[in-house]
Amino acid sequence: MKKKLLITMGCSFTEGVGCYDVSNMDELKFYGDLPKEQFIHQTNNFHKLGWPNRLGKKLGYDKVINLGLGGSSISGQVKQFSEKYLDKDFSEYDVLLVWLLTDPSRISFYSNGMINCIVSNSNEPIYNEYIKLIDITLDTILEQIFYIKMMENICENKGYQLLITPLLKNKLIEQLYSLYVSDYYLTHPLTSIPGEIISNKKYWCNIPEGDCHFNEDGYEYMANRMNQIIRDDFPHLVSTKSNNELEWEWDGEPFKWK
Amino acid sequence: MKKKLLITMGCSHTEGYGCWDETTFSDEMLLKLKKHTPDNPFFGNDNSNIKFHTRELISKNKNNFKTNGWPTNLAKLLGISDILNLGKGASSNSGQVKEFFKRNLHENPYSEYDVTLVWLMTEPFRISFYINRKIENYMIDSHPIWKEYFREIISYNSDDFINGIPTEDTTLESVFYFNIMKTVCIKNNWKFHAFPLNDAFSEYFRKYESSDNFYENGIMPLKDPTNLKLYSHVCGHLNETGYQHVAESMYSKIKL
Repeated sequence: MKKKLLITMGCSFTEGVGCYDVSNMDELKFYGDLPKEQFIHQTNNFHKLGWPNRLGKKLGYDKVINLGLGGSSISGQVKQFSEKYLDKDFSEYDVLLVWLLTDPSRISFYSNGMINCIVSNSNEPIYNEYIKLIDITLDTILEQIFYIKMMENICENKGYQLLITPLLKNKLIEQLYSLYVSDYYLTHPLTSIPGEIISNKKYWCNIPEGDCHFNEDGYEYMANRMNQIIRDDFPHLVSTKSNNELEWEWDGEPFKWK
Repeated sequence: MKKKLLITMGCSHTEGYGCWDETTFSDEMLLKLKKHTPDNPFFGNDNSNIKFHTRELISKNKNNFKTNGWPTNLAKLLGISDILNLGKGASSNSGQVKEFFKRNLHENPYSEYDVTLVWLMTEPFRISFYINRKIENYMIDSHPIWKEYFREIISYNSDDFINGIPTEDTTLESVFYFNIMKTVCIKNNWKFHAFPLNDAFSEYFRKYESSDNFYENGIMPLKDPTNLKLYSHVCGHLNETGYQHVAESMYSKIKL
């Protein structure tokens, strides 16, 4: 029987941003504003304690490769996967790829030999120009569908299992589900994380105050929910052996070509 | 035995732009044309004759583009009778792949065919976005968004310029789309051949991608005095003879 590998793709919510080790923080600051050593410590904590490793353990998988990267766009995530994993041989594994979709209005392009993702509140001139041109509720979804089709194609070619899910239900996600029916949605029709987790502050990290990322409890809730859906609807993806030793790596660092 | 299908992707050079039927030209245009050469084409950079470049004129010449472009010539050489030419003037590599996926061709609606896909990749500097449901392509200096893109990629110290445009980052975008198309073709068991529009792009491409599906340089004839007969004096693109030359060059490489 082959070993089982979980690959996860997504933005900060997949990187695990929010799982702060507060015992190791001088000040409750956003991780990007911390001194380098603390930044490294906190991001290591994110990568270890986010939903990907939790889900990997719950499903009894042997290994998790987490490609989640804060601030990344849908297109940037596919580019990253293509650069690093398109030619990788995972034939010793049964591979499941779980993709937690991010804000579809983010864009990406190569800049200085690296994938540069631009987020909606960046105030970058190219993003401002882009926003002027588009119908944000439609065109961004069409871009998103384009990249979803790419990942579907890649996974079908590689023989990987693919599950795609949004974080929350909103108008853009409803639009996606109305315009494109993927065989690979985790849930269809669309369901999202219940209101309980959204309204209950105990699941949010709140560092800095008002930040809306999850804390460890929030990611545990997410992993439990995904695990339950997979067990109910995709039982063939669950490992039949129990595995206490999970090998994992975070590989979200953008590759630099030069 | 399966039927054969040739799918072609690319920009105006794949659309067959340049194979003009002069019987569709007005007397005024024909008179003015006499002063022009492939080096100084009638539809030149100065836009002085842009009023003649109408939708109607293009429409009247579409069939000529289709029947005399390289896709038709290459299909004949390969013994293929069915062609799906997706070539679109002014399109970008990303826009061409978007169009391909929009039509769901990646799902292989041609399973009864033995499919060959040939992609004449265009300048890597072009970008595309969905704008009001349509795939819009942006060429050099065509729109403020391209200028912002240029400003972003030129902001790094670099010596990788072609005609003043940074080439490494733009080529990396094209390499990404090439790999996506390669994956589609592997999955569907299609033959895949990609060619660069110019040699400079090809050199950069090779730095990042060693695939045998990509052929380096040599298919587009240089626009030098010995080759001017291969180019149109109307628009400066290749003409029927030029596209025949391209098809033969592609064929010789594919068949190797």
